[in-house]
Amino acid sequence: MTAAIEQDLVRRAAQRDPDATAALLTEVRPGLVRYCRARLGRIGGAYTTADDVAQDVCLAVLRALPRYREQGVPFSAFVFGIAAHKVVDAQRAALRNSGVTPTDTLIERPDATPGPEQQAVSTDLARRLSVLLGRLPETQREIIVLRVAVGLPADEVGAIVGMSAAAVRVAQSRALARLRTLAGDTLDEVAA
Amino acid sequence: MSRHKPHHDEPLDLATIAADDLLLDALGRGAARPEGAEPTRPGTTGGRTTDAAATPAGTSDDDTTRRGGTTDDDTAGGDDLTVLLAAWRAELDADPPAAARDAELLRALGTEPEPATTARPRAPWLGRRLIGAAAAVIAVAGLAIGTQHAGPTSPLWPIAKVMYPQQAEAREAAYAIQRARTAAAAGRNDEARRLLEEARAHLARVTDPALIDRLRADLDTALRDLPTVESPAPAVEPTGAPAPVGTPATGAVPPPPVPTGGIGTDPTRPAPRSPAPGPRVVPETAPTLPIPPPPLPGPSTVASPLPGLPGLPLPTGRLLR
Repeated sequence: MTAAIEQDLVRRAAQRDPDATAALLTEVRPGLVRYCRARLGRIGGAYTTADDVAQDVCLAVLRALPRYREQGVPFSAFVFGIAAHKVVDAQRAALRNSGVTPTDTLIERPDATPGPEQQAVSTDLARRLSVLLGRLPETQREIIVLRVAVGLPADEVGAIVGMSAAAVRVAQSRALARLRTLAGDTLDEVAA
Repeated sequence: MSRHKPHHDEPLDLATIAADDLLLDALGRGAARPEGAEPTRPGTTGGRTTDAAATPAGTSDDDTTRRGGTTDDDTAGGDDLTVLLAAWRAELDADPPAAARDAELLRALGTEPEPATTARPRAPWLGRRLIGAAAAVIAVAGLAIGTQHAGPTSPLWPIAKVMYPQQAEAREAAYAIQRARTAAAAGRNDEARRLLEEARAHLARVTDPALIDRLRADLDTALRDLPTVESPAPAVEPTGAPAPVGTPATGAVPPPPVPTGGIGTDPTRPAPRSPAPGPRVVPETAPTLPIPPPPLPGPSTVASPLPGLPGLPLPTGRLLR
């Protein structure tokens, strides 16, 4: 997805070409929204906060576009570097305001929004995975978020987290192995 | 189930790494549909078959996972994880924010002044740089041109001495000769002689043969014009006669162009020669004769090192007449 963004589009958007900016947003926004949702979870039972942060990231990315060319990194690294900072800011703000950890604690609350059974189930599964992710080391968690939630290839993830593509592949395998263990454990708990 | 307890601390084999990578690629594309995850609620362990059946897109990846990556013991847990990841990814896509937010964002970006300051400076900044660079080039070129034609009286002379040492020496020589003529015209013969010596010293450092020839000719004429032993001189050049003509000549504006135009090129050639062929018309033409050649009146007026040069034909003309 973001891997396919051409330099030309970025350049025109940096010059405030409205069409290019809109096209760039269309490319970038879905991944950003998933990233923020994955990192922040449902707050108060909804993704409203995460989506607002994603919107914030979009604006920050567009503002920073003129600076992008000078950095010589993949565009996704530029975008998700900004996103990571914004998410941390949002988490800090949430901590300050409520004194509650935004991600893990809130995710374990029951979903306030009623919905069809199916959605409730998949939400439940998603929530379970969020809990498992919370138990991963930070880098591994970020890699899984970028690889699965955002859908970036391993080499671009490497550019974001400052690792080689090979190192990312090893780390993601370790993360999956650990998640399998954790998933097995929770299944055991449920079964027991 | 507890016996499947994992081995995440064991070293990873390449096949596992490759299979996991493929699985994550597929999950990242959103290939695995969450609907397939529905039957595998937490607590039900039959995840594998339902998942494979219900997710056509993800099937191959699941297969690879099973084949290469995880052992049979591990499959149940592994499949559960795949299901969980797929459900998680799908859930993140649920209820996407309204597309209207793009417009909202563009509006925010369009109305705020900040982007203008970040985006617009690019052009003016570049423009300013270009203008600055152009100005610098013009200044340097202008300086070079101005310096090339700078005489010893010019403010650019110190630069000229460095940039064009050859021309500078020649010009110093010409300037000394000119002052020597002025001095001679004013009756200050000793000073004139000293100045001519100076000119000779400068001339010794000039390498351009054409310049040397011309300056030497000038020097010789000036020397000849000087009363060497007081007595023969008056015969050639009565100090009284040229004095009135020569002194105004130094102050006069028209002559200045001549020397500079002549220094670099031929135009001065006529000057030494003029005494011989054009004696009759001299009084009138002498001032005008040297004037036409100067093609560079602009910068040379500043230099004006040899106002005495046109004076040269004048005395001879007088004498001949």
